[in-house]
Amino acid sequence: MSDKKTKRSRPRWEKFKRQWSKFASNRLSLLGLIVVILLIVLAVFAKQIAPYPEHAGLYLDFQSANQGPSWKHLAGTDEYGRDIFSRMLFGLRVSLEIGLLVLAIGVPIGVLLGLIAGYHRNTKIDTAIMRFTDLFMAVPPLVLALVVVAMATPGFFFAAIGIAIAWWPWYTRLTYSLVTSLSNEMYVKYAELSGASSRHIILREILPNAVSPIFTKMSLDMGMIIIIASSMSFVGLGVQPPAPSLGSMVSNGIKFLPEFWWIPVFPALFVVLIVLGFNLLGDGLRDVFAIEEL
Amino acid sequence: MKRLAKTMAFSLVLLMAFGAVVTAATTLRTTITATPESLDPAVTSGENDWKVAVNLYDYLVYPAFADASPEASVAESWEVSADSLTWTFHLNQGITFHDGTELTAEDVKFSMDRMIAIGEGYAYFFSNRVAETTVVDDYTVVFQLSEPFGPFLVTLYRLAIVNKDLVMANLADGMYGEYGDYGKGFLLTNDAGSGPYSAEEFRIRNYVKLAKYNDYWQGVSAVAPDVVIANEVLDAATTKMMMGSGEIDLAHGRQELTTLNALTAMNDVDVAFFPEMSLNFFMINTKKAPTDDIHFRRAMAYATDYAAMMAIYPDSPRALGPVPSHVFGYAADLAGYEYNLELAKQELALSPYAGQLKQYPIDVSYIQGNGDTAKLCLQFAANMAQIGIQVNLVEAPWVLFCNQEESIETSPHVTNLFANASYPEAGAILELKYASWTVGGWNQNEWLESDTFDALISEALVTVDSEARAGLYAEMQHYLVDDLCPSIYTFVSVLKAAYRGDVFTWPAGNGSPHAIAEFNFNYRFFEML
Amino acid sequence: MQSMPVFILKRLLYGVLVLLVLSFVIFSFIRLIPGDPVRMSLGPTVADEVVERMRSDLYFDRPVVVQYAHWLKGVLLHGDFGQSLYTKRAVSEDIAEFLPRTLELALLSAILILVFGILLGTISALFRNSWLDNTVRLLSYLGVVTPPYAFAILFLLVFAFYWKVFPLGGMPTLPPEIQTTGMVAFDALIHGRFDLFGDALAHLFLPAVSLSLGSIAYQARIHRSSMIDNIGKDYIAFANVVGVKRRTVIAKHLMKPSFIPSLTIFGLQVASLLGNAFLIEVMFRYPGFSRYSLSVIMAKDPYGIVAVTLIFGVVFAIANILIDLGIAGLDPRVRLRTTE
Repeated sequence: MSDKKTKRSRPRWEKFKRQWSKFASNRLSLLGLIVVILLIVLAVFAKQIAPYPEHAGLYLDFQSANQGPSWKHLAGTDEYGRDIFSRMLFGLRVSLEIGLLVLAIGVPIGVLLGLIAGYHRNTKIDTAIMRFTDLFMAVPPLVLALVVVAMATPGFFFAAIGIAIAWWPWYTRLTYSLVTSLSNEMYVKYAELSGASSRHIILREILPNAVSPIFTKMSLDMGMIIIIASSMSFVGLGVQPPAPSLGSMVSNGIKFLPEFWWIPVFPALFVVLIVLGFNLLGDGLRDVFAIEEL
Repeated sequence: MKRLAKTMAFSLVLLMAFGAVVTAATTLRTTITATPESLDPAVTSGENDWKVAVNLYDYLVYPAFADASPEASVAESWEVSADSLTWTFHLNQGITFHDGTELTAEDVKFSMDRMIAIGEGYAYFFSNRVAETTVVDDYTVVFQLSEPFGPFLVTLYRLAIVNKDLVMANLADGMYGEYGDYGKGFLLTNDAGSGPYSAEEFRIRNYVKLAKYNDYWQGVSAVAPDVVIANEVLDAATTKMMMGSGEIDLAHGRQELTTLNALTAMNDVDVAFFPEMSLNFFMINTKKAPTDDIHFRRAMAYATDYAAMMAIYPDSPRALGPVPSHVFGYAADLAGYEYNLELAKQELALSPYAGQLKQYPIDVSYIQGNGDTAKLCLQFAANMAQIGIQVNLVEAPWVLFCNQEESIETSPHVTNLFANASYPEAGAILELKYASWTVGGWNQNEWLESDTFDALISEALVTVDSEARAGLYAEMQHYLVDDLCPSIYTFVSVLKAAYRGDVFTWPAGNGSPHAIAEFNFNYRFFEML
Repeated sequence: MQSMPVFILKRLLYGVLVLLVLSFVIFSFIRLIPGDPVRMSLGPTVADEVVERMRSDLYFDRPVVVQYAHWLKGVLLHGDFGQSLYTKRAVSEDIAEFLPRTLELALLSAILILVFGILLGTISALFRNSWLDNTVRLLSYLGVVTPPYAFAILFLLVFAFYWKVFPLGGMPTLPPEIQTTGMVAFDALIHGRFDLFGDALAHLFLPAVSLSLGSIAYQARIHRSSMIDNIGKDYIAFANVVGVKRRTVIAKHLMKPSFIPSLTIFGLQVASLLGNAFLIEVMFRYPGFSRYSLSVIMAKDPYGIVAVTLIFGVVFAIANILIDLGIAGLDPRVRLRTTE
C-alpha cells in the first residue's frame, strides 16, 4: 500500500543522494576523495602538523644537513639542514594555493566568456569571443605560461597568472559546447518563450546544469596545474626560495642523486600522490555525472 | 715450425696493437658550465670563452705561470718611449696561422683596430687609449697611446692576434661600414688563430671540439691531447654519472661542494686547486636606506661570520679587501673586518636606523644557479638576524638580476656574487667594481659614485711606474675598506677541478697552477697517460 | 557542405591570421617591458656608443609598429627572424639547427603514444577486468599522475647509470655530408648509415619514453573506455551474431570508431609534448628547440621569443590540422558535416 501522505519531494537532495551512492560505490573514487580531504587538512594545518614549521623559511643548520630519513626527520634533511617533511607540507600548501588561484582566475573568466559566446552563438559576439580564445590556444600552455612569467617577475603570483592565462580558454571551449547543447533543452526554450531575459536564462537555467562538468574538469585540472606549476618551479620561474615549492625541491635535489636520494624523491612522490588524489576524485565525479571524455 | 708461426703471429698482433695504441688519437673530454658565447676573441669576455681562446690564439705577451708577469710570446722584445706613449714590439718570425700563412705585423694591427672598432668584450682596455697602430715592417708594430697606461702590457694578454687575410675573406654584411660585419659571423664558430689548437667544431650550447695544431710555432708535445672536447654540462647528477662511467676526464672547477665531494670520492679522481683573481663580495647599496649609513654597513661587516662562509667554500683564503692577495697591487696591510658581534652592535647603535630595524628590512639578492651563493646568503641572513636586521632573500635568474641593477631604486640592498679582475692588476677589479662609470650592471651594486675614488683610479691607470701605481692601488683599498666599507669581502675564489688522474696530468694537478685561472686550460701543457 | 581542400585552406588561412596577431602581441609586449636586452647582452664595460650602435642595427630604436613591419617583411620574404642576443647569430640558424631535433623527438614520442597507447588500451578492453587489464589500468594511472621530469630522473638513474643500457644524454652529430633535414636519426636512415641511425636512436630512446609515458598511459585509458563503450553498441552485437570473425570485428568495426576520441585527445597530447619537451631536453642535455626556447625566454631575447612562440604555434596548428584530417578520415559523420 502506498503512503498517500508523501513528504514534499526534494528532487535536488534526492539527486545528490543518488549521485553520492554511485560515487561511493567506486572504491577508487572514494579513495581519491579521502586523499584530497587529507591533503587539504594537511595544507590548512601545516603549521600545526609540521614537526619543524620554521624550516619552511630562513633556516640554516649545516650540522644536520643531508641526513637520511629517521624518526626525527621523517623524510630526511636537505642541504641546509631543513626538515624535508615539514617543507613538503608547506610546499603542498603552496601547490594547492597556486591551483586554487589559477582556477579562481581562469575558471570565472573562461566560463563567463563561454556562457556569453554560447548563448549568443552564431552572432558577432560569438565569433569575436571564440577567435580571441583561439589566440591563447595557439601555443602549448606551458610555453605561454613561461613567456608570461619571464616578462614579469618570477614568483608565486605571476606563475599563477601565467598558468591562468594559458588555462582559461579550455573552460571557454567547454562551457561553449555545454551551452550549445543545453540551449536545445526544453526548459530553456520554454524560458525563452516566456520572455525571460538572457541573463536570467544564462544564470538560472543553463549555468546550474553546466556546473557538474565544469566542476569535474576543475578537479582533473588541479593535478595538471600542480604538475605545470612544479615544472615552472623546476626551471626557477615559479615560487621563489626560501619558500618551499615541491617542484624546486625536486629540481634542486636532483644533483644529490644517488647518494642523498631522499632529497628529490620524497617531494616527487608527494607530487604524484597529490595528482593521484585529484585525478581519482575527478574520475569519480566524471563517472557519476556520466560525462563523455572531455 | 708451428712454434715459429705462432710466435710470429703473436708478435704481429702485438705490433699491430702497439701501433694502434701509439697512433690512436688521444682525446681529452671536459665539461664546462657553458659553451663559449662566441669564438671571436674581440667580442667575448667570459671565463668559458677565454678557456678556449688561450688555445686558439697567440698573444704578444704571455703571463708567466707563477706570477702572471709578462713574458715574450709573439713579441720577442719591446721598447717603450720615455713618455710612455709609444710602444714598439718586435715580432718573432715563422709563426704560422692554422691555414699555414705567416703571422706578421699586419695581423697585429688588424687585430687591435678590429677590437677597438667593434668595441665589445675587452675593447674598453684599448678604446680610448690606443690612438693609432702602425706597421713599421713585417715584424715590427708600434702602438701610439693617447695617454700613459700603466697596465698596458698585461692588458695585451687579451689581445688575440687574428689572421687578417682569413677574416677579410669572410666578411658579411654588417654595421662597420666597409668592413661589413668585421667577420663577426665567421669568427662566431671558426677560428682565425695561430694557437696550439684549432677549432674543429663548435655547437652552440652543446660542445666545442679542439684539434691539436702540430705546426704550432712553439711546438706541441706528442703527449698533449690530440683532440679536446668540452661539453656543456651544468647538471650535477649528470656530471657525477659521466665522471663515474669514465665519459669525462675533467670537470669544470665550479662544482657545488656536495658534488665535488662525490666526485673526489670516486677512484682515480683527483682535484686540482687554483685560485682565481676573483672574490666573493656582498655588494652593499650605499645610496639606499638603511644601507646608505656607514655605521649600518660596518655593523653588517662585523656581524658576518666569515668562518662559516668559508666553510661553505672550503680551501678559500680569507679576503680582507677587494683585491685578491696574489694580484699585483694588493695592499697587504689592510685591517679588514672580523666576526665580532659586540662591535657590530656598537656600530649599529651609532646608526640613525638603530631603533627602527623593523621598518628597514633589507633585500639580499643572488643569482639563481650560481653555485653555493644561495647558502652564503642564507648564512648572511642568519648572521644579520643576530643583530636584529631583517633580511628578505631574493633569488633572481641572471637576466632579472642584471635588470635590477639598472637604477639605484631597483637595486637590492645587498647582492652576493663573484667579481674578477680581467687583467692581473688591482686596478682591474677596482675599476670594474667601484668606478662611477661602471654603474648600472651586475658588477656594481654599491653605486659608490665617489669623486675621490674616481680621481684615484684615473690617476693610477695613467701611472706607468709600477711602484707608484701599487701605492695608489693601496690607497684606494684603504679608502674603501677603512673609510667607506661599501662591500663585505668574504673570500678569494678557488677553482677546484676534479679530474681523472689515471688519464692525464697537468700543471695545475701537479701543484704548479697558473696565476690566471683560464690559462690553466692551455691544453698544450697537458700530458695524456 | 564543403570539400576537403576548401576545409584545409580555410583552416590554414585562419591559423595564419591567429599566428600573425599572436606574434604582434608578443612582439610588442617584449619591447614594452623595462630592461635593455642589448646592454645586458654586451655587459657593463662596453661603451654606450657601442650599445647604441647595436640597438640601432637591431632596429630597437624604432617605434614598435615599424619594428614589427620590418621583422614581418624579413620573415615572409627572406625567412629572416632577426638576430638572437642569446646565441649571437641569426635566429633562423638556431631554428634550423634545433627544431629538427625536437621534431624528431616529438615524432618518436608521438609514434610511441599512438602505438603503445592504442595497443595497451585495446588489450585492456578486450581482456576486461582480467589481471592484465587491471595491471595496465594501474600502471596507466601512475603514468598519468607522474610528472615527466620524475620519469626522466628515474630512467637516467636506472637505464643510463646503474645499468648502462643507454647513453647518459646528449645527441651525436652527423658528418656534414649526410645532414639533409637536420634530424639526426632520420638523416642517418635515409643515407643508409645504420650504425649512426642506431646510435641516434639509442640517444633518443630514453628522452622519448620519458616524454611520452604519461600520454601513453592516458591514451590507454581513453582508448580502453572508448572501446568498451563501442563493444556494447548494436552494430558490434549484430556483426557477432551474423558470424563475422572476431578478428575482423575487432579490426574493422571496433577499432575505427574507437580511434576518434583517442585522436581528439592526441591533439592535446601533442601540445603537451611540445610544452614538456623542454624539461626532458634539459635533463638529457638534448640539444633541442624546447631547451633553446627556454633559454631565450629566460634571457628575454626579443627576436628569439617571438620566433619561438611563432614556431610553436605553427607546429601546433599543423599538428591539429593533420589530426582533424585524421578524424575526418575515420569518421564519415565528420566528413559530411560542415565545420562547427
